[in-house]
Amino acid sequence: MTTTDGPQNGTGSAPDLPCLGCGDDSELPLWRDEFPITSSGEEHIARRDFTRYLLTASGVFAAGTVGAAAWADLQRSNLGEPRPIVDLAEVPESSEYLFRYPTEEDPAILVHLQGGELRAYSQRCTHLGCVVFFQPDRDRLFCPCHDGVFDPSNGDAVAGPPERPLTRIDIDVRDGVVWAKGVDEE
Amino acid sequence: MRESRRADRRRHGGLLVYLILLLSLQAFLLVVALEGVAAHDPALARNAAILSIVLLTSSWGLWWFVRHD
Repeated sequence: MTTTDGPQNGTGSAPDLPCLGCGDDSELPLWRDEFPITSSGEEHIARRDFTRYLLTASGVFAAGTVGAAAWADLQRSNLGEPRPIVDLAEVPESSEYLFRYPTEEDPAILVHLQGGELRAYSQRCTHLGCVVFFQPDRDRLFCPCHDGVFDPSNGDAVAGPPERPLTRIDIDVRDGVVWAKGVDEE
Repeated sequence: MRESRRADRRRHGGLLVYLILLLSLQAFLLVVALEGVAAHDPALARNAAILSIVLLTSSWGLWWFVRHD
């Protein structure tokens, strides 16, 4: 690609052509005003045009960025409906139960801590979205992708690259059954 | 006259370099926003989008100013 300066790209020096429509030999022919680009100049792109292409490309990227932001917001808007997850008896202490919440595409983990407390989190690591696993022997939630570590009692990131806590899911025990009540927004 | 054309050319050249850098930054911001989607972090994606729009608007303003100056 070649860039030239100025709006009259490719005009260059006018060839010696008969002037059809001008009275004075020193003036350019009238058709030159309406067809300023020569065949040799068709391949050239003016610098001004190129800047316009760059601005347009930037606009396309910006539109994509805004679309991605809207997509991320829509993902967050589904907080889930209350529904039963599992019988409490099936999840002994120091163990976990994997389920899907709020949709079938959202992996989640129910952790039965030592002492009897229950916690549920989105299984997606807040670093880059890998799934986290419970390691009862080390009492932690672990992301194998980049060695992220979360505290199972509150979901806080305690080691590795993640900086934000795991997304928490509100749960309740009703008649021996663990229910998910919705995704905690904070 | 020649000095004026040279200054004009230099100014457009500067704008061109700036826009190329801007395009790189816009691509980077798009990647950041997609990372926000992947990591379920709407705030990250939103901030990237805001910065992207601000950059685009200011660049368009600069381009318009240089063109009509």
